[in-house]
Amino acid sequence: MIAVSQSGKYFQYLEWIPSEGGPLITKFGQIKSAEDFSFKNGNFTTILEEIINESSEASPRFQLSIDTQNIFISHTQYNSSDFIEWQKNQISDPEFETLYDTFSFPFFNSSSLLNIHLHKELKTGIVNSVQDVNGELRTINIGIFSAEIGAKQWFHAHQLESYSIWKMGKNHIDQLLIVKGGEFKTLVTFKRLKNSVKILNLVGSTTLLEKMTSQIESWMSEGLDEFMHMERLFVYSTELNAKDLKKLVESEIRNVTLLNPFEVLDISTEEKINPLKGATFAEMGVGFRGIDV
Amino acid sequence: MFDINLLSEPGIQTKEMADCSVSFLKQKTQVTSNIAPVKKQKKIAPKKVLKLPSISMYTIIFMAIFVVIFYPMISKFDFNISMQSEEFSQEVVIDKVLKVILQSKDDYTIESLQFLDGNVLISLGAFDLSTMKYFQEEMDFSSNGAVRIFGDNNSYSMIAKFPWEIINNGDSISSPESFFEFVNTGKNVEAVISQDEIAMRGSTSDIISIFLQLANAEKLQSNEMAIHSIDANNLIFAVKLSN
Repeated sequence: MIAVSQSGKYFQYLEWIPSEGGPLITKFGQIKSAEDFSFKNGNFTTILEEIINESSEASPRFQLSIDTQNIFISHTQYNSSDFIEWQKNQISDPEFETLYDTFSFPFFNSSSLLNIHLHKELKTGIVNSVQDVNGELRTINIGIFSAEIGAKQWFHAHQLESYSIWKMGKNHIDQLLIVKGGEFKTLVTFKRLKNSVKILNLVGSTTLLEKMTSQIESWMSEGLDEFMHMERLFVYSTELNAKDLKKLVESEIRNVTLLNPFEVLDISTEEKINPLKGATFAEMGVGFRGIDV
Repeated sequence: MFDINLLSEPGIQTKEMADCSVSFLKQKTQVTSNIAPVKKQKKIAPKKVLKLPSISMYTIIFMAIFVVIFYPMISKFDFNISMQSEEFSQEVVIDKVLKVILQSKDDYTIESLQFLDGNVLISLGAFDLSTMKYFQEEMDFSSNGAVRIFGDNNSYSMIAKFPWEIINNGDSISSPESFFEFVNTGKNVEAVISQDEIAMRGSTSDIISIFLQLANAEKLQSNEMAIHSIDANNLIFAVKLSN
């Protein structure tokens, strides 16, 4: 199985095989895509070919996580067919439906919907590239949601009452995903300023979010012993030189865990992986979907 | 937490893990083997000589005899099981209220829509009786019996009532600050704050947004509220603060 994740211009891959002790990583690496990379133009074929050249799998089976930049996210606050129809008429024109596929995920006891809008041509481009390399594609997931699968599969996050995934991004623009009682609560994009946090985009409940952002602000200004209201906070960054992630990990906050798959998974080589570098592979979670680790 | 797989069919997704992989793997060429395949012997269970009736058959016979013997005694018992009155769940009420608001633009005006402790009272006005009748049937008010249509000369009113409960668990909205903790009204909504009420005036979509933010924060049942039409596109939404 080969897990592939895209973050900006970079594609990372991680190949694993089943073993007696659980999944065994046999290959991993990173490929930089061309400046004008586009899934729609079939450029993904080149990336897959490079991965297959490095791989030992005769029949390449992929699980893919794409960058959040490839999708739009919206929130339907009430899950009823009348309301969905009405909202659709308010926010989009008929062209939108011909261009985009919308996948709606119920939450808040199915009363709200998180909508993911994916360009149809982009999806077709991905599938065509997999066909070009005679491969198999099992899943298309998205950035932080794929990392959340990793937190469950590698660190058993699903056994916790509440947890968050914090992705530290470029230019201090981060994402935070809050899960409580096994249910999605909040997805927020925010910018870390000097001593405060500015919300850029929000889907879901604000209740826990305000408590979390105020504690992030506390950590930035005066330090923090523990993130309250949350059993565990999993942090990662797909940036290679993530100074703020290093600072957060070195703060030794009691309930913060670096989302580094290499801490849990066995590797077939003796290679030592720096934990921060390992955490750049956090979005490989989709590759372990439904697998006992 | 939902399981995202964008290879699945668009639309509302189920919680189950979506298996919808696409495969273009080449068929592997069959490797011929010199080893003869081992044929597994099929286990054949010995035939039963005598087939006895199952335990469940005895149970049924026993129950039948029991009922026949003791029926005269059982029939005299008064089990006193009260019939459950037909009530709408809170979700159904929210659904109906939203339909009332959404259709108000075209078909009728909302004279008032009050969330009180005990009932949601809906009062609508229209010029057309057929519109009212159609709305009554569509909303399925009549099965509950809590609806009246009256009026004449092309001026009709409809009053409907749903069960509703204001849950006072000490978590109700008691101040404007606590209200704005849960609700972002947006730039286009005018709000007038008094000692015991927050009244907001805005477009239908803005007021729906406020209504749903309260629903998502599970605050819809914490305070008494009222909605009125101003014109075809604007509504007033008032939330009574608890003391």
